[in-house]
Amino acid sequence: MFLQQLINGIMVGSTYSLVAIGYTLIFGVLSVLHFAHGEVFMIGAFIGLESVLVAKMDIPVAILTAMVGAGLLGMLIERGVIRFIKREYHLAPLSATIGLAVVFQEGITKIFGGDTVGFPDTFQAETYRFGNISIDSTQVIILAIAFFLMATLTLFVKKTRTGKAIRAVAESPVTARLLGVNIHRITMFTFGISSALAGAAGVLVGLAYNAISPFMGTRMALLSFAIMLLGGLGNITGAMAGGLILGVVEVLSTVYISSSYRDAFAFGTMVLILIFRPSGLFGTKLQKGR
Amino acid sequence: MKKIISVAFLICLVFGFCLNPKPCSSAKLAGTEVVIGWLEPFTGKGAAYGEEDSVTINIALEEINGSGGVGGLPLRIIKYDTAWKGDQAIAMLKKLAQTDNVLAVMGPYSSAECEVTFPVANMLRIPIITSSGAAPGIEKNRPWGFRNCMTLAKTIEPALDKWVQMYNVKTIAKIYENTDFLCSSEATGILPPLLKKHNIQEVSSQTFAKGDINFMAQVSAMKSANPEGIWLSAIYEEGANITREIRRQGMTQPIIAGIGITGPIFIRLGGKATEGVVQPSNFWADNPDPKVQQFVKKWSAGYKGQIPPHYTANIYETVYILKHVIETSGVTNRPEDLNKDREKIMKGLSGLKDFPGLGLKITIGPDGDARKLSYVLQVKDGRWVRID
Repeated sequence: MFLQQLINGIMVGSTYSLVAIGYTLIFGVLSVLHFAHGEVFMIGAFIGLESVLVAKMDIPVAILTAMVGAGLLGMLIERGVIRFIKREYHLAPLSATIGLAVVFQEGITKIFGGDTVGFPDTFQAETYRFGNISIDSTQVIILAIAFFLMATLTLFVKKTRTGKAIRAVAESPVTARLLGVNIHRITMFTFGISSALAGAAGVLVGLAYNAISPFMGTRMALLSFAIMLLGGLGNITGAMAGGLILGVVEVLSTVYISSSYRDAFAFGTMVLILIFRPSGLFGTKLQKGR
Repeated sequence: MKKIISVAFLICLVFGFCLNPKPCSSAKLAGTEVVIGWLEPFTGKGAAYGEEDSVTINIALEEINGSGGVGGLPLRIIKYDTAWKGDQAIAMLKKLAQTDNVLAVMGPYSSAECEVTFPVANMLRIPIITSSGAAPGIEKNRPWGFRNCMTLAKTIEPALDKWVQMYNVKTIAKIYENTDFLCSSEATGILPPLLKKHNIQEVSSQTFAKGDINFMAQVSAMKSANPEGIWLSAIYEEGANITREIRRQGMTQPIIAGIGITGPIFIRLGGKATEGVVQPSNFWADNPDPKVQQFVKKWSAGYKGQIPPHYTANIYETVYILKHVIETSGVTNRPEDLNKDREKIMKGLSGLKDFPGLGLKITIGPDGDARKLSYVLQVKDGRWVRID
């Protein structure tokens, strides 16, 4: 029973992590809370769904399409909105992204309707049972893809030139610029990869729960925000671990305590960690200056 | 010759007009149109209901205005978006009553919106009739508030009786949405005494919130309690996912659901997992009644080939109920008589008896709630089939 719940929690948490990484990357580079990130996740899910329903694509191709689509959308948000907002008004980018979130929600409602929709039955998972533990094929695929994407991103940020530039901009935009880093290009790129991850998460969540709706991003955005704080602002490893912790806490508190207090436990854990470790679980020196 | 042709033409003209009932019958009501209001969520989480009900309202308007309108005048419905928010519903109700000067108002959609809007309608002295707010307590807003939907207790009891008789269940696990007024009223207010009546023991109680998509933990908790049956109080989106998760985790127990999951979307989203689920409903789309089949055909053509759910059938009936009451209760439709007309409509609604609805008769009781047949339906081969 406990093992089953642990697996369930890790699976739930892995999708949270994917979205939260994007959140934390954007905050790390720009110090901007991107509240429309949940809606990018939702639009990614719709792109994946339409790729399957209309363009008759296979799931892997649909995930890639959703990543490209969401990535482009993220870049467009940076280029078309965030870049024009002056940094000295701290609340302005926050308010702008909240506004964008509402526009995306209502826009998608108008285009696709407010109904919850799902992938066709042919994509339904097979369930494997090992004694008392049941795992289905979608869960395995989701875990594999989520961890693959997280590992790739970590390697990318640590090992590649662009990754180093992202870290440099996160640490000190002024110094990075002096060293010849194109800040605008790096910022737009960061929005692109963050949004691509959210797009992939959208399709994975859509596949797992068969519930794609214009409103699916709202709770995800709130959770990602909590995970970002939990893991440490701007910290990718922190976001990964934070997502998994939140997923497991959510599932275990539902099963062993009460489902009525699920969110209270999840967010209560976040508050406790912030009280005893204000910089988050994996808080870095970088965060202290912010 | 010319004279004969002219006389013949005149005769034809006169007779032609008189044989056509529309131009010949003098309009009973004053003015150029009959205007009623409609509160519905068109944006936000309830947007899908607004979309579906819009199709229904268009069908009703087309039918009514195509056959002489209301009291000889065309019917116009002014619609406002409540966004599933009580405060917005109140603001729009005031606009309908005080600025648009409508005769009566249909809506709002959710029980929570009705809960806060109906007292305002009482203050404004304007008749208001919802087709879907079924939670208990709303009926206290007399005399101006009405419901063309059966209240939860009256709807659920026959379905639960039938389900218990079919499966001989002695223990149940329940799962319900605790952020929805209707679902939580159903699971915590209506269900317990009915379970007591059947000596059924509740062995697990799980909750979830609106918009949740992952129910693994709740279902695991229910599974470990090993109940003989499952009660589900949810709106169809979450309901379908919960049902899928129940079956995915290998639970094969019979499921009975409240009124929130009604309609074909539950089956479409939940797929094969929904087979065997039992629920009560005021509308049965496969009813052979020609009136029902005509409505289903029109609605299906207007909404992605889908089958209409019960709440949209209710609002179709509601438009016709208002038409009937306006035509038969002495409403003049003169601007100076607006308050008197509203009172007449309120009294007309209060006295409604055996009104022919979609395959059933509707009577409004002294509490303002409709009395109508509650079907017991079960999913069989991907369709809701009547089993009572």
